Amino acid sequence: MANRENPYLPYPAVIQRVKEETSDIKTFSLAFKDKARQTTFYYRPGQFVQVSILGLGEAPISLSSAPCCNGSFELSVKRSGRLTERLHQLKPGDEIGIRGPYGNGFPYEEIKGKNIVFVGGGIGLAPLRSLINSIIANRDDFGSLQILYGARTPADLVFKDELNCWSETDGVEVLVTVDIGDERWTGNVGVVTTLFAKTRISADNTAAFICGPPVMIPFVIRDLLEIGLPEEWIICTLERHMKCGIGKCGHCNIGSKYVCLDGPVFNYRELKQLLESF
Amino acid sequence: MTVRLLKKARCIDLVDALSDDYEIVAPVRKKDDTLFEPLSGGAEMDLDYLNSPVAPREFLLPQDETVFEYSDPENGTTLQPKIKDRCRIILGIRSCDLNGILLLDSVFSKDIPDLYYLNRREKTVFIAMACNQPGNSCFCSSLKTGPSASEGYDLLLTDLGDEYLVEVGSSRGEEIVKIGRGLFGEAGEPEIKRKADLLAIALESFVLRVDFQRVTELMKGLFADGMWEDIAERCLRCGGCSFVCPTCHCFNLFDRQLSETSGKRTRGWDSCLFSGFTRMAGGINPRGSKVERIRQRFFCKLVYYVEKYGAYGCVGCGRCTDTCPGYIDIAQVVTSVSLRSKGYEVDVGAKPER
Ligand SMILES: Cc1cc2nc3c(=O)[nH]c(=O)nc-3n(C[C@H](O)[C@H](O)[C@H](O)COP(=O)(O)OP(=O)(O)OC[C@H]3O[C@@H](n4cnc5c(N)ncnc54)[C@H](O)[C@@H]3O)c2cc1C
Ligand code: SF4
Ligand code: SF4
Ligand code: FES
Repeated sequence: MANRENPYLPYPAVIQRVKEETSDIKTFSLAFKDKARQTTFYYRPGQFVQVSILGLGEAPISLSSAPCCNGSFELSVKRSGRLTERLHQLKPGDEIGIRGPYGNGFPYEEIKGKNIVFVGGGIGLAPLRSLINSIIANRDDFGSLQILYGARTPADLVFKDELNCWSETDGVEVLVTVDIGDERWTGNVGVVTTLFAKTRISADNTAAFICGPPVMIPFVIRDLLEIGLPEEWIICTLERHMKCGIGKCGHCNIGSKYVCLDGPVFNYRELKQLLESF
Repeated sequence: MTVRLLKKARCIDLVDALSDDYEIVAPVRKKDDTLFEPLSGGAEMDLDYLNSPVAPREFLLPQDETVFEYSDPENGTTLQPKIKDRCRIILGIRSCDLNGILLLDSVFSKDIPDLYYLNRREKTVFIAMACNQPGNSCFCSSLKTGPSASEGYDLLLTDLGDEYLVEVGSSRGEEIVKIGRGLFGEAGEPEIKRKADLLAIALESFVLRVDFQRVTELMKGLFADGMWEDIAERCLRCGGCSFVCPTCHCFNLFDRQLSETSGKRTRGWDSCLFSGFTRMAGGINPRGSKVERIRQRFFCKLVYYVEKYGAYGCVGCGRCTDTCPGYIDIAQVVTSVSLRSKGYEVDVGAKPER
């Protein structure tokens, strides 16, 4: 048999830094123990990896860093169960297993020259951050950038420094909202779709990227369609229960598409054609 | 095509001749059932069987297999992948099940190849057996996946009475004939003709004939139909249909800690009928109801398989029907789809007459 790689083997990666984003979200900066593997670890924004902790199993997590800095990569993880709980206890120097990258990733070449709108909810900003930072690093290749982000409370906002940084970049507009404010919060209050009324989104030559909790997605799509965005430029990244990550275990299908393989990124035209609802 | 004859009485000798080089899996009688099992000697074999209640896919995709073992000694973690390397013959596999394996081949080789399946597959030789007498739940003839195999076998046996007609389907089949030199006799036109006659009789004797024409297209139009609710009423979520099916490929991956410092990652069969199959963090479940899950099973077999791999994910073995405690019958479902799409009321809530 040809020398095929075993797709189920995780490779050891060492935690370089841990940044506490919120009380239940941390960003882990990682590098493969094997330097050659690290320098040849190519991925596209929107792709994900399987994070492995031996004894606990695996969890699919999006790459939240931009691919351009290949000395390390980042994962932003919300504590939501056994594996992610354990991950949150780990410190720089600790090792985890990584396999991937998997999935199709966001279109990149195709959106050059376009105006870009990002709509993120909660931890959903993580995969978008990878694309946002790639675009900002190549600012001249793209039109205007609008980032609409919503979280439950001010304490749940992720990438706070970056949100500030982005908003200070030329041609980038950042709008943030929370579902429930607190005494110190002076910004917007309301679900993320309320931000559409706070700015002007041009439907002309625009691509929109959406990631957030499943309840949020249909509402955002509805509003973007109303604004006049074409179906194929409304682009979502979806979440499903995953095991293999490579189109074999059958856990993640929506109709005849595997989210791990054909997705997780789909445009609305594709999603509309699926028999099952997304 | 090369053909040979094999006296039934010489089958045991063939098994003996082959067991130096191969592990031989064949039907073995166990109380009321005949199951595929590794033989310790040819005498246990039961080649006058209808079929096993569980498809022999377990020899390519085991119900439970170790992906790797891990240990955490002082000097770092090590992983030891477990990939099987013994050559194996599956003797007596039916045409439906062989076609099931051809479908699994597409699943496990498409896009990113699955080493565990493919390694086993490359080391597996099929001595298939044509069916002269299909069972009451069989409907392979409606899907052209039987009763005699037309591809995928290395050797194909047909029962001609005191002897088997042996059709050689591959170079590996030739190899087996070579190892069993002296056991095989010459065959020619008369034996081929006898097989054709037997096959014609077998084709005539199917009790169950199912019209699969356009079922994929029709089902797409019935995704929201109430018939799925009626079927779901009878599903007990046991997952039995997935476990017996020759084409179900879904699996779970999980870790088993064996000691403080060692354990293994395992994969084991799973079923889309289980409610936890799609449950995500935060308790969100995209297929939270039984209706959605039973519909997934039939759409997987009759729509998604076609769209992804170009063929129905059902080979007509009838096992799911025989197994289902709620008498859910895939043949009845297919027939009901065609009736529903013409506007008829159907009673999929009732046990089919058979
Ligand atoms: C493509 C993709 C990208 C993702 N990216 C991120 C990200 O960047 N950051 C982030 O915080 N989260 C992300 N997630 C979600 C993350 O995978 C889950 O939160 C994680 O699997 C929970 O694992 P756990 O072991 O901590 O929880 P568990 O204790 O295993 O279970 C908690 C719940 O999650 C369900 N679950 C178990 N395994 C999986 C699985 N493999 N996939 C989905 N649900 C599962 C269980 O059924 C249970 O209901 C992503 C998911 C997908 C599919
Ligand atoms: S999705 Fe269901 S029916 Fe399809 S292969 Fe998996 S377990 Fe079988
Ligand atoms: S769906 Fe039922 S009849 Fe079809 S191959 Fe599977 S077990 Fe056999
Ligand atoms: S995660 Fe296994 S098929 Fe998608």
